[in-house]
Amino acid sequence: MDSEHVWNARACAAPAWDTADGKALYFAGACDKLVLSKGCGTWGQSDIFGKAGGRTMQRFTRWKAFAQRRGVKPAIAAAFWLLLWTFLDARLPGVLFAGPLRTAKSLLTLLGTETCWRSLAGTLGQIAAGFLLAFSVGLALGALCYRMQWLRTLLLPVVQGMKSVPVACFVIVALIWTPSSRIAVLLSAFVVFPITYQSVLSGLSAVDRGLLEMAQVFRMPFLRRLRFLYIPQVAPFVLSSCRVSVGMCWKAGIAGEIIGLPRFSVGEQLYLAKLYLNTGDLFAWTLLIVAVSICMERLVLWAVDRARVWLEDAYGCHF
Amino acid sequence: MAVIFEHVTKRYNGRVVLSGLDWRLGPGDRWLVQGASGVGKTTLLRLLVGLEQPDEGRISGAEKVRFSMCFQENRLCMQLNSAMNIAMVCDPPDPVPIRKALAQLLPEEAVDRAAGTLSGGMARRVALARALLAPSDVVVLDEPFAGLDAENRANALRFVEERLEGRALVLVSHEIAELAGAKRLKI
Repeated sequence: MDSEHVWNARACAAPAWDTADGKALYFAGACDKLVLSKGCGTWGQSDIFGKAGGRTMQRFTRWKAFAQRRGVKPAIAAAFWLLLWTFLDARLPGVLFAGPLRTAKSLLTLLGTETCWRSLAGTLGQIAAGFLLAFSVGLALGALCYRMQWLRTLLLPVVQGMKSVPVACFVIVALIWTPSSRIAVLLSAFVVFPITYQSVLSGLSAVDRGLLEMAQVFRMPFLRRLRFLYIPQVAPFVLSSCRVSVGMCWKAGIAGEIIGLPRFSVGEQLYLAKLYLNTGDLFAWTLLIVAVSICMERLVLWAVDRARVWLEDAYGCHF
Repeated sequence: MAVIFEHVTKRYNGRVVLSGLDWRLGPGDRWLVQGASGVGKTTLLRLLVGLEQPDEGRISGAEKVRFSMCFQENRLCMQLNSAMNIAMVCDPPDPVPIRKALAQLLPEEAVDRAAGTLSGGMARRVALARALLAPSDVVVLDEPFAGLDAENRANALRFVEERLEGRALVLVSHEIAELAGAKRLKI
């Protein structure tokens, strides 16, 4: 056997081996590796699958190569869900379900109204404020609790409670404490804080003890430890928590608004759409929430990553 | 400034690892620490640099001494290149002398490679270079030649001699039986 002729079958979208006589060998089996010995280069697909089988394999390979192009798979997935959505629309009564066309029409109408933009801006502002507040406090307290065991023990019941108390229970209490116009701030903070806090603690706890001892022996200044040891370790944990928490704070914030019904909020608009059984508007608002939530997630991930790069560059050695 | 061990005893889980050790490390001293595996050579080094505290006895003078150490494990930041791994413990982190020094121990292409991609022997030499290039009063080397072939070991030993520059040295090594000018500490 010659190691040069060991091919990874999964990596082959095109003929893996063109031989001197113009034949090609295609891999389509379930095996991970196909090992060919020297001198077997005259094998071709027709020899293995027969003539018709060879053509089928050629088509399959072309299709596989097409599917691996950038954007093709997401487009196929989107088309599948659109088709399913249309199919369900045809089957279910209009009062219960709005199809893609009706939703698109409602969305276009909504986007032309001032109420839509005012409600979106109001909710976005509230949720973003809650997120920023909880994210900052979570980062700071996570770092402090890593150093102070007693503080971690003190906060344990609070964090545990925030993780397990249902959002609906908290909404009721929060409505007693605060005007309904601030409910989304409180709720998004309520959801984001434990996630961020836990991610910082986990990231810091995962820093290599050996490297920390090395830093101690060499008396590395704190800023260098931060830049070389802590930030590279904690950043993936924080980025991962942001991915989860942005979506969660939208869910919680809007759930709170639906109960509290603050003026000019997405929650209020969703409630009104439900009240008048206007499923088109309901679906359109849902699409808007998803879109804004995705935009906010991208923005937050970008900002956190830029902050990481900035912190690393602010005190580093450039070689 | 000397570091003085007075009747130092260290136990792990009730097992005595070092018992009643008296030892004095003076400025510019060279010590070759020898003993069978598991007798407490690494524990002695950890006590010296302050990573462990004695259960009995006292260690004085260590707080005024600056140490640099090559640990038994390499303890490199895997995402950083060799030069950066050394620069982060140097003050100021000047790349020119670091690169020049590393060229004595490593092939040129290895200097810019992330530590995680280096071979075991290369990473060992980076860890050794870090201990010798960092500013310190005492250089502590724990099995610095482990995993090196004869040629690289001789080269690394030459590097130690050249870069020590009058600082005190404490060396634990199974590979080296003699070290010029060094006293022996049998544990």
